[in-house]
Amino acid sequence: MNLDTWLAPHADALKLRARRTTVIASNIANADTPGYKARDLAFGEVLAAARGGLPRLPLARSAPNHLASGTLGGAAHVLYRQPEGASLDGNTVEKDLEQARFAENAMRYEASLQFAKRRVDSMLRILKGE
Amino acid sequence: MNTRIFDIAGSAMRAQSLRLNATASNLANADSVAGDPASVYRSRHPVFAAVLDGEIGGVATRGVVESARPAERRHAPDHPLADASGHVYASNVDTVEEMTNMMSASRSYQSNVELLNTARQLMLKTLRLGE
Repeated sequence: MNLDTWLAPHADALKLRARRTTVIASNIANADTPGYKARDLAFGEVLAAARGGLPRLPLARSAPNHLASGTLGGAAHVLYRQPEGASLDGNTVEKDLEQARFAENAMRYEASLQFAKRRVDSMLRILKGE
Repeated sequence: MNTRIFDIAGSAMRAQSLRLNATASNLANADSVAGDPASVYRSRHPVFAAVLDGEIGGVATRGVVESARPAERRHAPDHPLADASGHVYASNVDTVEEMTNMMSASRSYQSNVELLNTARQLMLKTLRLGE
């Protein structure tokens, strides 16, 4: 049994959830900043890419200063939010929605953490031979 | 989990507390008067700007601007600060605007505290993984 593949799905999910936490945190931090555009991680897409579900076509780069296309959870997967209503100062953060998403993301992070913990526990049980 | 979340939420808390300070100063000076329109207290507000590093980032204050709204001229010839024509100039602070500002700033501050608490708990739980 390979330890990496044993923990991998949950470890990937945890990494992405943590990343999404910081993205949403910067949305909430900039809720009163004029002109700030709210962003979010396209989570399903990134996780699918991480697990090799969706083949991602890399963008060809013909010059060294072209931007690289997205790696796992890279800038390519962070998209701008479409707000329900635009605010006058150009800010697209909907604070209550962001807070709800933050809470949801934190809960899912904990869920992934629990799953990972179970895996570690069962691994320990196997090692002990109980 | 990345510890940058603490910087982000911390920068927002600093910015919002500066906004609260400015509001306190404006409300305290709402009834200040002066003898000429140039030296009267003007309401001041911080200007926020996002400090993005990649797609995430905190918020910084790019300075404090004074409101350009004209000061209110009052006829009060008995006032010790009155000018030659018997007028004093009252500050241009709008108390209703300041009260809404105060509520918005304190709510934003609170949400950032919540954010920090949640992130801290998640990190502690992650550290305990495998115990």
